Amino acid sequence: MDTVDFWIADRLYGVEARHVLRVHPQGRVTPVPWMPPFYLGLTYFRGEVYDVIHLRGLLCRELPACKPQGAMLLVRWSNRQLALVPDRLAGLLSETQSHPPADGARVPLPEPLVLDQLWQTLGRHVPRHFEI
Amino acid sequence: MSLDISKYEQIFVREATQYLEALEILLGAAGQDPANGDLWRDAYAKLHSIKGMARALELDAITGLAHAMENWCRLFAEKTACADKASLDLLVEGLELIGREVERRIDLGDVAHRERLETLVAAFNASPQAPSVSPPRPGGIPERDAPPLKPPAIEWLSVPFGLVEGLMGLSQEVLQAGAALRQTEAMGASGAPAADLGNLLYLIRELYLALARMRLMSVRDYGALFEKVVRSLGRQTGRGVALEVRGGTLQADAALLDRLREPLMHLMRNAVIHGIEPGDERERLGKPREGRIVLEVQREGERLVLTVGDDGRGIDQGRVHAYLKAKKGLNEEEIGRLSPSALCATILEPGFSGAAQLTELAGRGMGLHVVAQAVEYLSGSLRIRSSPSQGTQFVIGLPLALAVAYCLVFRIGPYWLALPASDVQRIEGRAGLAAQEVSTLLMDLARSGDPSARPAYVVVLRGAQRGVALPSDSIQGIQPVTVMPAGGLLGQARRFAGVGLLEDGQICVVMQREILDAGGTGAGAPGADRARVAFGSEGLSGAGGDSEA
Repeated sequence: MDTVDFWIADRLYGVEARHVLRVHPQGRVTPVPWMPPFYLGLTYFRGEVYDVIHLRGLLCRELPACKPQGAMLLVRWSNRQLALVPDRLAGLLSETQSHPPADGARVPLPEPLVLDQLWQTLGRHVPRHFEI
Repeated sequence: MSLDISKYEQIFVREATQYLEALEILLGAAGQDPANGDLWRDAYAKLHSIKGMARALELDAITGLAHAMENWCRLFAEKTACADKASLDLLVEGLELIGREVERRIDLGDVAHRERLETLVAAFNASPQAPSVSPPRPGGIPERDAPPLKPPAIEWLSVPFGLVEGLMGLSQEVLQAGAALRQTEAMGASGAPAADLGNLLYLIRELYLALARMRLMSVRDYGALFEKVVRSLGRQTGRGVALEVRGGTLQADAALLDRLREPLMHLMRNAVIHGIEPGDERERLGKPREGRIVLEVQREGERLVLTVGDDGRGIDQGRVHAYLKAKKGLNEEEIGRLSPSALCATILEPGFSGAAQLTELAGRGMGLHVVAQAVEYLSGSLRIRSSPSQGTQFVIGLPLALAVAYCLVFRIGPYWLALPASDVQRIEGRAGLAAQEVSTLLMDLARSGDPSARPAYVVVLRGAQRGVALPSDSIQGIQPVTVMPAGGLLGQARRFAGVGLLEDGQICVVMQREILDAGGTGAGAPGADRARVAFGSEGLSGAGGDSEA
């Protein structure tokens, strides 16, 4: 399984490459009121609107002090889509690379980021109207 | 030198497949408008092309069937015969048979297919008004012949010629404006480029809006996608069923309709399998032998409302009660206290199945909750009405579904918001803050960075019992906004009507009027207002359903 890997704090995560539509530079992100801090806003790409999620803010509860820089991953799966903002992209890891290389150097295995679980987590944090 | 026939076969497969897909759509449209000679002429031409290609490859059986079918289309185009449901069904069956053989790239080698072909050709050689075909086989058609249960994807849009002409004209103007800009720049003129650039940007905006209008799809074309599948399902289950499409001239955003394609198919499949009774049973009940599924699309205010209904047996309340007892641990008394809407909403739960037994078509755990999920994703609402022996209706409401709406675009703090222009009465200066009951919900936003901030404008809403007003730091004006559903997480927040795309590519959030009304004012009691709009009344899986039972 090929994964697109990225760092959040000191942990390496991987999301299945088949779900990654594009690695997109952070362009216009439109902020949205009444959403949680990890929700950076909305971005538009080729006819579709994506919720932009700051992964460190969500997973580590460390809120961005300023607007995060760097690329975001546009992912789509099961009729859902998100723009994920990691701390830093690590690259594309193919299945064959996930084993230690011959020289014995340790390659950290990425922790799989399961998008359905991520969606459920996000859903729990999004305030419904009556909760505000 | 040998002729590489496989190359020609590949071309045949590709082109015939395209023609067959177009024919499916044409027959679907002809089902809604059987007297439309243009549709039949188009169908004739496409069948004629298939025939010609098949003849070149010496695929005699396909040639013969296409020839027989095109004859009927010609008769319907010339209005010397009238297309009825039986003849449409027969043509669809002919298309399916050609499609299967085209995929195999062989001529009818299968004995069963050859027999079916001969029956079909014989039927097409008879008068269209009295096709001599056998009724639906009681056991349904064999599984290997079963048609796909998904409706075809939206691959084509009917676009008015005038719109395309306008687009071409605009494109030419853009090119000319670009050339003029380049010329002015080359001449070193100092003042002109700004005016030229402004003109170019204006043209690009017009171009963008014209393109947005091209993405609209008529409900009639959309309904045609489902007709073949519904007919096929009817044959598979041995039930006579017809799909009626209402609201055909209405147009909606094709991207939105595409998102609803599979959920609607799911509802129709459920209607055929669980709702529509077999013909004999319907006759005993005094109903027409053929069941009816209705897809109705209406625009209600700023909402698009899609209804899928059937005239079948209604929701099986016995199965609902059994589910509530087994899975929820409720007894009859507790079930009796549930509202009709809560009972209806039970069928949206993930574990609920309407199937008595596992079949190829039902009972595989793909319940209606997937429909509820899809509607929720689009920030819509789903209501269910059901009456024993009269049928079931699923009513899907979607916010601001049309591609372009005129909205007031304004800013509060860092947020760009939009509100349908029809909701705006007037805009006042800062002095209006004292005179109006200003929304505390938005005032909190305005003051989030600076508690002493005093917004420059007040937007007074139309039609409120009391004058609800919104603060604003700046007003961008009333603009055409391409509105997309507030999907994803934004949809879950249930506060926004959609996401608006402005002419310059910027996006904004389109507010829901009722949320603003209820969001509290300086003089009101926010808590009480919020309770009034709690989402129990519009929710998907809770009290969202109602019932006429």
